[in-house]
Amino acid sequence: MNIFQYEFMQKAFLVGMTLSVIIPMIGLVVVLKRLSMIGDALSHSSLSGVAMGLIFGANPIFFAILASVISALLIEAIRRKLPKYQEVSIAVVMSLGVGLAGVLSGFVKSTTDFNSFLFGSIVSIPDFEVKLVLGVSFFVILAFLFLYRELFLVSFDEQQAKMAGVNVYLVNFIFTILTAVTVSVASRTVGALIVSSLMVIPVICAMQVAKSFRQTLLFSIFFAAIFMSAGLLMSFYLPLKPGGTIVLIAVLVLVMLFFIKRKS
Amino acid sequence: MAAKKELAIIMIVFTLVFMLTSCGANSAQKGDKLKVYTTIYPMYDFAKKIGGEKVEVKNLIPFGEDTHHYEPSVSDIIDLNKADILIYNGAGYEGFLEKLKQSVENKDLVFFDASYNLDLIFENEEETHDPHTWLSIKNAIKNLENIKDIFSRLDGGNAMYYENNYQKYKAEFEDLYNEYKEKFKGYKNRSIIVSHDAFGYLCKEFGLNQVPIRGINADDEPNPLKMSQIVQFALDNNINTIFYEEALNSKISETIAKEIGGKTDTLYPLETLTGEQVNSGEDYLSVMKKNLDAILRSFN
Ligand SMILES: [Zn+2]
Repeated sequence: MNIFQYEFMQKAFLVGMTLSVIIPMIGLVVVLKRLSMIGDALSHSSLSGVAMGLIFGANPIFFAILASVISALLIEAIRRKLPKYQEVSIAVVMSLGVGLAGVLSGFVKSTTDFNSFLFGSIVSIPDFEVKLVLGVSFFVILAFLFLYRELFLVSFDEQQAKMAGVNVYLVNFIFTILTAVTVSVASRTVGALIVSSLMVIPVICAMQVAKSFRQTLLFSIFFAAIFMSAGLLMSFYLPLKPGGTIVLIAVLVLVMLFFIKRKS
Repeated sequence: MAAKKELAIIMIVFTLVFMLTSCGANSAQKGDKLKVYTTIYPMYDFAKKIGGEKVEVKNLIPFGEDTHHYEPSVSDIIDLNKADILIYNGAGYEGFLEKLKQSVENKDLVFFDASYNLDLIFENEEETHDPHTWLSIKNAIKNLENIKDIFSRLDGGNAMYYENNYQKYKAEFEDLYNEYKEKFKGYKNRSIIVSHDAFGYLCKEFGLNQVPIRGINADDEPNPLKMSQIVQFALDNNINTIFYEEALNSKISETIAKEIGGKTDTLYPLETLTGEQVNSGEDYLSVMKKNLDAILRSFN
């Protein structure tokens, strides 16, 4: 049984590999800025967008992106207002997203539609969504490389970045939009519940082995790609759900890396 | 402080008025038409067919909504406090039934199990069984009979009326059964790929075999392994149609259809119809006919 004889598996791998480049890219900056939970908050907010789209009979993905972008900007705004309590901004927006999604989902007629956004549907990605993921990823990668130095400076110390002549406000703004778009597009395919794990765990794994910002970035992508393909492969040969499998493999590898590091 | 007190008084008065009017409504309606509530569409349609103009039928779950994961609302409980009977499908379909029984205060409300005396299909050796009983026409006739019996018991004055309706529809249902029993004769053991595990009774009745993409409660999406197995099965058995239902996401069915170079078509499990379908005069008979025709089409 050849895994690539099926078109849906080809698409799953294509989308999965693409996402494992951009999710840890965003994740690295997010972790360094100590905003690890932002993925969670944004994916929940994008769910409320999905619910709205389903209720109004419009394309749920565009509503998801919209809701996610608004929430991301809100987090950024609260973060600037309360610089000492940055984590609070995420908790507030996350609550808003969860509450809205909860109430709105009560008006969605078909719960399976809603569920497919919650858990993703990597086995049945329509051509339109494949193109969307590829297009968004191309844009994210380009923006990331273009702002590489600025993001590097901002993610470690905003004050120092400012002194080095970086327009911190603008960089943060662009990065916020990139994060929101990535999270909502990725939620659709791998599921809102696991995007956040994919943002954080590969980065933490990479930090166990890498020695520089650049190395951490490359290792994060490497780990994400490994987790993604291992999860997809396993769920092709065993009766497992791809989303959960991917996250469990990631956590397992992380725990192993912790042990290896402690021994040496 | 004063405002708070005022608000409390308003709320108490409001609750009292509300309680009084709802009690009043209850006693005023005694002696009128039988007030019937049903849980899902087939029960609604059957109760209307038997009860005709002598009963007032309302369906608890709004048409078009997901019936497998329904949670009763406060207004459902209030409605049921004014009803005479709740007809439910039974056979384990309504997971919310026990909760409902505990919440409804109306002591006179009759909870009626429409699948009383039905032959159930058991899943494997487990205790659970397939609750989509009405998709067998024979079972549906039994449902009609059960409903006729309970209506006659609650409203003896109209027993003849209910009996006549029963005989009329029993004949129509039997005609449908006989017509398609004949048509399916040449297709013994053929398979259909369906969106959720709902068509066991239909398949058993006409000697077919169903391969469901999702489980009995239609919740989970298939994993890659399951997908590839279904694709393989379709290719091995020369199946060119993947059935989906309007209430569920059709993406999976489309993906599989694309994989085998086939097409998709609709099958209605009937647990829900859209409001438009109900208003445009569709009923159990017309939709079942559509289903059976669609299956026959897929074999050619
Ligand atoms: Zn069902």
